[in-house]
Amino acid sequence: MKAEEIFKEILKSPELQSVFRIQTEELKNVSLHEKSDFPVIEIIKEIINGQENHKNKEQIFQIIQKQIIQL
Amino acid sequence: MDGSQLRDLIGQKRPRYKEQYRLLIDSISKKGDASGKGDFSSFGAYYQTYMYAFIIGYKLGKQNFILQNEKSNDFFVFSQWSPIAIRDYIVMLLLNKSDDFGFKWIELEDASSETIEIFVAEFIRQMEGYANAGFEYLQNKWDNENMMFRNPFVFVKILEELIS
Amino acid sequence: MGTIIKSVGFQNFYNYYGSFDENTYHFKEGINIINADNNMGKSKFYNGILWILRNKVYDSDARRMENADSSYLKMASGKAMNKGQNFDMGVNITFINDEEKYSVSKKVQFRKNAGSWVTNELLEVMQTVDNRDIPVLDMNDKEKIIQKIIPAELMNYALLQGETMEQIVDLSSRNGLSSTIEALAGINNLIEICDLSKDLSQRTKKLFNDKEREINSTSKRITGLIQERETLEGKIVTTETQIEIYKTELSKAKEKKEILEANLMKTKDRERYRGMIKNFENEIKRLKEQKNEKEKNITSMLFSESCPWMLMGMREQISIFDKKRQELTTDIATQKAVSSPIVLPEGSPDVPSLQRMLRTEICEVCGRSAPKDGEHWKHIKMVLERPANNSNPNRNNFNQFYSSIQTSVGAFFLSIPKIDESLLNYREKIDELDNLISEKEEERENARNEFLNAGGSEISSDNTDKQTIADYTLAEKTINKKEDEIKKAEDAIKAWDIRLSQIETEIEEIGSSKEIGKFRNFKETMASVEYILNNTKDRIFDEILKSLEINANTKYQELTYGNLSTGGRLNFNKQADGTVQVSIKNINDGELTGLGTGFQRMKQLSIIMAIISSKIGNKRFDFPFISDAPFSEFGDNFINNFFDIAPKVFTQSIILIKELYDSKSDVYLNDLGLKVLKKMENGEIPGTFYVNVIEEKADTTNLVTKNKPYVN
Repeated sequence: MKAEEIFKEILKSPELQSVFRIQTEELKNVSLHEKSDFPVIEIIKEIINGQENHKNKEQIFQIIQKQIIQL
Repeated sequence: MDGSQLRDLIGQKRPRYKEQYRLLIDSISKKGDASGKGDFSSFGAYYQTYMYAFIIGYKLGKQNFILQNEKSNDFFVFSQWSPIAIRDYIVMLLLNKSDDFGFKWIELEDASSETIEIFVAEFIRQMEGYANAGFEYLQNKWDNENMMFRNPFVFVKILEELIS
Repeated sequence: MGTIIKSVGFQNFYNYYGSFDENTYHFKEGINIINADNNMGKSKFYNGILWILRNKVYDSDARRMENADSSYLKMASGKAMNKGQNFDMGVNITFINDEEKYSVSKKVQFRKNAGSWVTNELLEVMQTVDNRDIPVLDMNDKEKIIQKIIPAELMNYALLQGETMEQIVDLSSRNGLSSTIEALAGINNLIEICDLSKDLSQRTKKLFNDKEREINSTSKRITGLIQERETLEGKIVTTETQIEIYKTELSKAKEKKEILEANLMKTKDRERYRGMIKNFENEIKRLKEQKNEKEKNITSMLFSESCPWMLMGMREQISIFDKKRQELTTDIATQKAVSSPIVLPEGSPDVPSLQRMLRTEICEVCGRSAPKDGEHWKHIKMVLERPANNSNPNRNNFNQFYSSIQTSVGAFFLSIPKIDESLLNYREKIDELDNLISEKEEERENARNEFLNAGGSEISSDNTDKQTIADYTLAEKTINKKEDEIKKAEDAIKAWDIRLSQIETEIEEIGSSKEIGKFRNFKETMASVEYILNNTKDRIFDEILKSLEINANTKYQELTYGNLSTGGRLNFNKQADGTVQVSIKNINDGELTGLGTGFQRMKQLSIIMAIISSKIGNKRFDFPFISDAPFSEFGDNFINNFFDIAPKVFTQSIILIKELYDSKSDVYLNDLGLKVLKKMENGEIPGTFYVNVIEEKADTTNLVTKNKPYVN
């Protein structure tokens, strides 16, 4: 399955609304290539891209922790 | 002499076949089979084989007489051959040809008992002639076209060949 | 993208004796049919393909796949080997892929050396560039080109052999299911994404624990709880892994049980076929006896009194005889008239008187003397010597004899003309029996094939069945055990989860900080992401299966359309362990039992066709679909339907089939075959149609198959 398709499917998850409070309209504008305002979306994108590019797990974790969550 | 006496005279005879055909006759007959049925490639009783050979010789118009010096064997007594109608048919066939072997019917009416004896002997000799010609024909088939005998209709086919 | 096979050729390969030129099939898009009876090169053709694509051949005696390189002697043409001279054996496929033309040949040189054969294998691959054939030399390149014919991941679905169909589409085993899903949608990366996210989630848990420990390093209580939490989380991870193992084992046990169940079913089948074979054999025996009787009777028919075949053509003899009898009567009457009998008048002297007259030499009639040897005396002597009754001059009377003969043979006059008809009828009756015997023998052969297919052998024994039952019981026990273990493990995890919440609450009660809150959020976010991704994967999984179910059902309906017994519909049942059971249900959703193997095959074929036609992104399967005898269980209806559907699913299919064959027809086709041929001739079905024939029937070791193109 292509990354685009996977991403599209993930965006259908109801938890994005119920847990992360992202409205459906806002989800429409989200894309794999442009940065969004939602950290959870960014995390998901990072995971998808990380898998596709066979990135090191620790690397991905660091990016998520430091850059996205900024912890 | 009357008819039944003539019939008896003929009936007492035992037509013969040439020794050289014995093997063939054995091969295609089943002697004394009570049911009268042999295997499909054999006749029931030997005299059936004889009758069949006779018909073949008769249809061919050929005769193969037993010569003085030739070994021959007797068959079953003629009066016992069956079915009767077929046996009588054979008698009829020979009677039809009686002129050819020297006996006109009208002359027979007038003939002495010695003459009748001679007639009956010749009658049987003629029968033997046709029959042994038939055996000769069958022997030929057996030797040269043996495959035919594997077909259940072999004896029918042999007759059919002679018609066409 | 995609491949079309242009030709397949053989050289001294099994039944295909002779050069490539003499043994080549030219194929097109659409359906390419090779119609051949058993033993006419059908499965040998298939072996050629297997050899090139997989280096294997199917050994029909051993009933399994063998490596090609250990089977060369079996693969070589018997006729070529018998000739004793050096020869080459080989298979060639030419094809077009992505507008490039290629030719692949596998050959084995057979050279005689001191009485035995020495073999040498060659692989020749060519690419056609600008109408010139360029040899490809590098081994890797050669392999890549061979892969272009049918890619490895599609080979299971593209190369179909009737008998092995069950193993291909097996959604009830984890392996079977995952390889099917993978073939359908290629969601390996999605699975990796989920694994990745699980790993990340665990890292955040560890991070959180470390941070919390750091912040609360002085509180023994809290560090203790954190330790407990870590331990429990560790246990949960281990147990979850263990559950996966149990699930795999459970799935294997279920698989085993199903196979054994099928075997047990097959025992019943075997029994049934054994019975059928016995019945047919009895029938055949009876008919043969009848025929034998009839044949034995022929010689007695020659002598039949009602219609003696021996007298054929001799009816006129009876007429001749009748004529002669009439002539005799005439002659007798004429004779009577001609001769003049001397009749003594009334009152004539009797014999003693006449004798006395001769003695005394006196005629007592006229009273005069009659001297001896005189005229008068001689006259008296003549009268004396005349026979008493002169009305009949003949001495004999054979009329009665002749008329008794006439009576005896009379009936033949009417019956001899009927001999021809009698003969004809008799012959026809025997032919009828022959036909019946042939029919029964064929039915018996079919039953025997089914018997063998159901695993029967001449030495089927009870012991194998007992073993099967024992294995079956074991499989059931294993299933129960694993289900128990899974339940226990899941319950344990539940309990630990509860304890984990308790620990959370306790820690919060004791005290928390804003900072730790952020790490908690991070942990929870990553847990949610893991959850979301897994759910998405499951959802996609289910959609793929749903789509497969719908698609397979469409194919199933199309295949079973018009059949007398309804085939029901396919039902995909997701099991607790994630695998899928495909069952056939009737209208009321009840399990449809008692369906023949034909329907089971149909089920599998539908799924395969559905898989192939659902390939995401491609509507059509762009690689050749090559199938040997998938129809041995199908009726005419199914076969017809298959030829309707196949061109819509496959761009090119090559079908080896015997069900269109009739050895007794001039064109070797039965009714269905003729129908299909007609559709091909008028373009309704695109493709080619070949029939394999054997030229020399007598000697089966030198079986030589030739192909006749009917449409090409």
